[in-house]
Amino acid sequence: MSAPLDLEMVRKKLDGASGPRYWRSLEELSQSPGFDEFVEEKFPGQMPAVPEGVDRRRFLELMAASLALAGLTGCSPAPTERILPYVRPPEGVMPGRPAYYATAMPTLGYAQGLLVESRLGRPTKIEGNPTHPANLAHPDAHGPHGPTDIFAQASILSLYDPDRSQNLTYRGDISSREEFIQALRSTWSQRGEQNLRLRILTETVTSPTMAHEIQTILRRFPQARWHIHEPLDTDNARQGAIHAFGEPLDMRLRFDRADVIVSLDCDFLSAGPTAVRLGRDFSLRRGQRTTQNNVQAMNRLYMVENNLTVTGMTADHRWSMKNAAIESFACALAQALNVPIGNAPQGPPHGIADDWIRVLAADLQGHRGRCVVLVGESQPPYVHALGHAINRALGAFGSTVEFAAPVCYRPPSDQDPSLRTLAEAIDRNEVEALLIVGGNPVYNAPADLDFANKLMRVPFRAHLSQHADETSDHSLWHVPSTHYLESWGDIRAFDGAISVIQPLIAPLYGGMSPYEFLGLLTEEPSRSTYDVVRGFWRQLFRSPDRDDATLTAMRRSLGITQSLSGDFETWWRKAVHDGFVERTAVSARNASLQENWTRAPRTEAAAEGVEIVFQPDPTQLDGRYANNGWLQELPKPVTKLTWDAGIHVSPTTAVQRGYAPANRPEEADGKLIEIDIDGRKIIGPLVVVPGHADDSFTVHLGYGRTNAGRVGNNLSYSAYAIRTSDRPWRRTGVAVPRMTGTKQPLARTQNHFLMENRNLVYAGTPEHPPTIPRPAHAPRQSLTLYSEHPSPDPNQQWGMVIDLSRCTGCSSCIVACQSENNIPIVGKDQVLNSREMHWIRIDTYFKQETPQDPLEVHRQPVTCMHCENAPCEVVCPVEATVHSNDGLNDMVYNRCVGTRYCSNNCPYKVRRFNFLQYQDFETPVLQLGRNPEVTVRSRGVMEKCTYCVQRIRQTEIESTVHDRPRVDGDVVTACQSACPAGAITFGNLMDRNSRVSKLNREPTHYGLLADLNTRPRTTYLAALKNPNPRLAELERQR
Amino acid sequence: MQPPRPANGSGTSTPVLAPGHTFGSITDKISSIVLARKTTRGWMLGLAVSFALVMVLFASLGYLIVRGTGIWGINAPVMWGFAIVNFVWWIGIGHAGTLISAILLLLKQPWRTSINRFAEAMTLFAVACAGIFPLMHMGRPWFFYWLTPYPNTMGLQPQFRSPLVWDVFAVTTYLLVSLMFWYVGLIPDMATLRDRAKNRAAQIVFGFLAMGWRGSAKHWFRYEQAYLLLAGLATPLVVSVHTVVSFDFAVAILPGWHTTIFPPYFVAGAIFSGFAMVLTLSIPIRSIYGLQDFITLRHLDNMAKIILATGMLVSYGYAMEGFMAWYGGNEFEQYVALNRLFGPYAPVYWLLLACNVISPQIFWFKRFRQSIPVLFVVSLIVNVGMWLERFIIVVTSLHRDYLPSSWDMYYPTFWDWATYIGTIGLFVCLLFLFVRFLPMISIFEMRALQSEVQGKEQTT
Repeated sequence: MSAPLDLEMVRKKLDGASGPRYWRSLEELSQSPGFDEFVEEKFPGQMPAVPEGVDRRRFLELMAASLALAGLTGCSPAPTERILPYVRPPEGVMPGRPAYYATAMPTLGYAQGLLVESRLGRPTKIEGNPTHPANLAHPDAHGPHGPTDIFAQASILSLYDPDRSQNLTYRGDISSREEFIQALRSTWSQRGEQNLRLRILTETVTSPTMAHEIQTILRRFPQARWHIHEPLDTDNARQGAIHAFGEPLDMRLRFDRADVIVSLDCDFLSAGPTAVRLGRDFSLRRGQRTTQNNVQAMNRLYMVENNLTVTGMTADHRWSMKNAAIESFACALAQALNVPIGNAPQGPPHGIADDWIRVLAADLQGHRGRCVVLVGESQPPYVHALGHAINRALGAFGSTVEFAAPVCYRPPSDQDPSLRTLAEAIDRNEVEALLIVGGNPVYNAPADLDFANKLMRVPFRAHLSQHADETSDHSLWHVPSTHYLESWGDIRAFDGAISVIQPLIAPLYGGMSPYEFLGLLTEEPSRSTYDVVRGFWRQLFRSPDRDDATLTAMRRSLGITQSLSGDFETWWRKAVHDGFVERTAVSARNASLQENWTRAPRTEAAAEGVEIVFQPDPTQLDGRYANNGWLQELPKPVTKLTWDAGIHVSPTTAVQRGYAPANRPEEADGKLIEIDIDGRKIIGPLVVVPGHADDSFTVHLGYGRTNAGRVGNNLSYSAYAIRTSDRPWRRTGVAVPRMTGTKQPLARTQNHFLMENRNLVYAGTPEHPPTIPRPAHAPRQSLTLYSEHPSPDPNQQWGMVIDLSRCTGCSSCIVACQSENNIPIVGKDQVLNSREMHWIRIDTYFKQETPQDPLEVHRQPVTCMHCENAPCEVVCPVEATVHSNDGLNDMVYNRCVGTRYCSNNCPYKVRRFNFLQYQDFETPVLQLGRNPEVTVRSRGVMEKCTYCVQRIRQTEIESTVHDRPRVDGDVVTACQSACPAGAITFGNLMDRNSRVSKLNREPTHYGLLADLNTRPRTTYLAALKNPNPRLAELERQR
Repeated sequence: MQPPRPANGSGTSTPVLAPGHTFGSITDKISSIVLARKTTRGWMLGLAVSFALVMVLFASLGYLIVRGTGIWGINAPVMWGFAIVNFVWWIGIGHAGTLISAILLLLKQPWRTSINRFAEAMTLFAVACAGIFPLMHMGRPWFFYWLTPYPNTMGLQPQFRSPLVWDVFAVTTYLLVSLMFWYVGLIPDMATLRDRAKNRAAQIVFGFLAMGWRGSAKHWFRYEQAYLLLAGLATPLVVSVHTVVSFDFAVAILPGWHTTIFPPYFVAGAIFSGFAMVLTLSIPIRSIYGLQDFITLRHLDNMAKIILATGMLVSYGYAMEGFMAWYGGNEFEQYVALNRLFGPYAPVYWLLLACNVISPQIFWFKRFRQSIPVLFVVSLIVNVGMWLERFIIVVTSLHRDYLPSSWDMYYPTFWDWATYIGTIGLFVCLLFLFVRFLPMISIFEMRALQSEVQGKEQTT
């Protein structure tokens, strides 16, 4: 108590009061000054909590004001910086604006016509040349570019490969060009050109200049011989043609005229010089579009094969049988068509009913002149010849198949150019100098030749190649080669059309072009590649009278009998600009079947037991692209395997041969087996492939490289180790491969291939298209609690339609997307943990109730759906993924903090996360190849398909700058551009006449998982197949 | 006055405070643990081991920052793995503390008094462990503050429709309120320790922490007011935090997550696991520090009952998930249910059912509710079970969702385990420090309880 009690005060208070009064203490009554304080101290609850004068309203005002003031952050202006203008810009170079140059890429020796995007002098993206015969644009495709295959798309990465050879070496030590030339000359300078026993080993040559160069060399060095080694050669087809026609004619296919196609193990949609063109031609008659005019009825493809291939997945009917049994199938078919086969009938192979063959024969006969039978390279010459006989009997000659003189150049027919004769010559010590121009024979020569050791016995051996590879390792001299984008050249397409290869960049690492390399052996060794190539064509402009023998032959091969007319300079500029020379395709000619074609050699009869079949790897081809990460990480179209070559077997074989327990064949996946052929062994992982033929083992060429580079070294097995020169495509009667007891995980991008009865792919036939339920076909609008996008652009909404009837699964789109959008590769260990980064993927689903049923395969390219009600957008805590006015689901990399919630909430799982630092920021040369229009993402951020937003914005800017109206198809996404089949359509959904809008109105149009009310913008046309109703009935009965 | 009953006496009449204690004996007993008791070798060993695990945590997090989240096993379909499992698990464990201190306070349950202090400490430490995960699981954790609304030149605010933003608010609120609640409750005891400390350093530290507490009527009045207010604030948090955490899943459209039952089911699960953790901790502590008089069988029995009750709620949740999968007729939901039962993670699911549904049933029997070994073992089983539940929810839903082409497996890596075990180390390490340096039982509340008990005894 602060003050003594003032009794006076108490009395005063009590005085004069009337009525009862209450007090708790005299202190209170006295109201002495310390009383309040005392009460507050001892009985705090009695005092008001908030001081006088501050009411609730005032309190809230103060709080609000302080919060608002906290929001006033600094707003100082950015510091002023000065920039200097480009005073004298280089001609034709507009920073920020790509230029396109026509060129051509060799694919197994034949041209693919390309338009290559160049930014400030750096080639950054490969597109197809839409007028080039090998890359002809699909009529349904938009845009200025043609399609390409995966190898063309990925070749840009090979250009910038940091592991490319950068030095000319002698016995592994760095040497110089001069020393090499000196050493080369010394091989003949002592004894004269007459005596040098020189050999030149090339790959397939279609370059007229190179062929001319070689012929010039062969004249200069009379003892010289030219050998050709191409591990994926077409020797069987060539031999078959020789037996059928007496000469090695090239067969060309006219799918536009074919109603029925029967492929005997011919995987024409996969890799190869003609795959893009055939994929395009084939797709012209796939699917059904009611809203387009002039659509021909669907064609029908029958496929007979041992392994499941891209073509097999696409086929309307597919029968799997051993590779060795296809011959008897062909014979049975020929008999059913009354084609003489020259030997006793064998009957159809096991598992194929006679009825089926009869129905097939009837279908072919019902389409006489509008059908074609194809034979795959792995079949012996006899089957090729038989194929020609059947085609002739069906009236296909001149209609669906045409014949022409061969396009590739070879030594005179009396010389066997094979690697085998070279090896034998080395054995006889007949080779003093060997120049290997490209190729990698030490790696890919048949095992029985023992080429690596033989090569070591050649006194002078030089190898020209882009990488210091296995062959370089065995050569004395290794000469780095230029990439096709680095030097001039010329090349012919499958039909003979001539392209000039135009370089887009000076050689990154020096290097010599093959023309220069071979030129060292000519009289004019110091000519530049440009002069060599251009000089050759200038010669052809002269009068033919002045030709020497080789030039005359060359003229004949090119079909140029007279001097080329007009001005050479004009011709040359046009050839370079267009990417190819018009009307230089070799014209078709008549082919008459010889009577004695049946004497063509046949391989051993379809033996019982196990067969080993060799096939090119779908993404590695023969192994030349081993150090290309995009191709290594590209899922194989069927198995989705990456970074590995599988040994394919059927589920039945996996169980029967004891690799997997009964009913669980998939457990054989990844088990390592050892294949032993005549003491040569390989060990590789099993991959169980549904629809594979039983007791057939498909091994893939292209792996097991040891000197490929940091990416491609020591992956899987090399099938070349068991491949022999006499039987390069299959071995029968092989002992059952045994398990090694170990298992390795398979890095597959898809591990579950069953659709689980979910309506993900709607499939049907033109007669019975699938019924699409309403939510998938036409979702109702506005079924969300959240407000819709506030201001959608009423004139511009982007959408994409993918036609599942056309997609073959070739995967060009994946590599094109990777190239366009700077998508990193992640490596095998990351793929094993399902962290691949591809923005577009092709889902594959198998359907087969029992092993007897025909296998149904569905492919579904999946990109970001750009959902109108995007589930990812509502869960992102930082607005890193938002919707644009024109209907894109945008990803703001800079804003992303990486909670990954968006991916969890994405029903399509199209979002990709940079779990680690996947992008290589360290290697400078890789930076050259990136698309400067696309942000290079670092670790910790999410990314996904943007519909190539950089292309959209570029087009918008240009149309604004030039005041051009926007038209349908002015924006083409990278995947769409690369697709040979025209399966992808992209455009404005607000324009009712745009192609994408029309496809949206197709009855078979549907949205994936649209019943989730995501309202996807990427939608699909149902997968239609065209099975033979009678055959389908028969197959069902069994 | 009734005769004192033996400690293992029957039923609810087991006292919440063993008889015979006076104000002085309570204060002596509890404060001596901090002030007088020698640092034992066992404590040193325990601290050393747990501190080593904290170092494991720091190493894991350091490596995580250097390399990225790719060091964990997460992948394309399963973008959330151990981090979110552990986050939900730790947050759930924290709930018991808040429930005991706030709700039971408001409900005037006297038995809460002797366990609320370390239950609250457990809450704090659990939330601290929990908070590490959502922060560090981000791809770019240095931008964590983008999830908070702060004024910035980008003119951007968080995206308020995202449950992750709600999470940030819910968890930070929870942490702050829990911290305040705990600290406010500690102040009178800090003063007691300050007054009893013989050591100058302890006097200064406890004096600092006591914030000038003198025990005046005004102080006590303010204290009571603040404590009640905080209890009132904390009460909705018991429900809200785990509700919001469950929204992380329930708001998504993923089958297996998109379920309206998640909020109550998560809250029940949180209390379930939280009480299990309180049991796991209190059983060894009471025997090591001789606190059987304060944490009596009555407490253990009550907690066992709560575990049984919440366990039944959680089991109901499991049953409902299965029922709705069937009844809802959604093929994707049905697949998730079947996949949990028979898919590749089925052993985990069955183990979870055994842990969370079967094992608590033993608490129907009083004999087991009062058997220390049984209580301890079951509490551990429930802790494991609830962790498995979060694993099942996060992983099995993600690993097989709509498109079978994307299906894949999730396997934790070394770093997943190291980070998880590291947080357990952090939790245990903090607890070791807590029991050594702070009064683990509220002294003044026990004194109040004593007078209450005595009062009751006198009136009867």
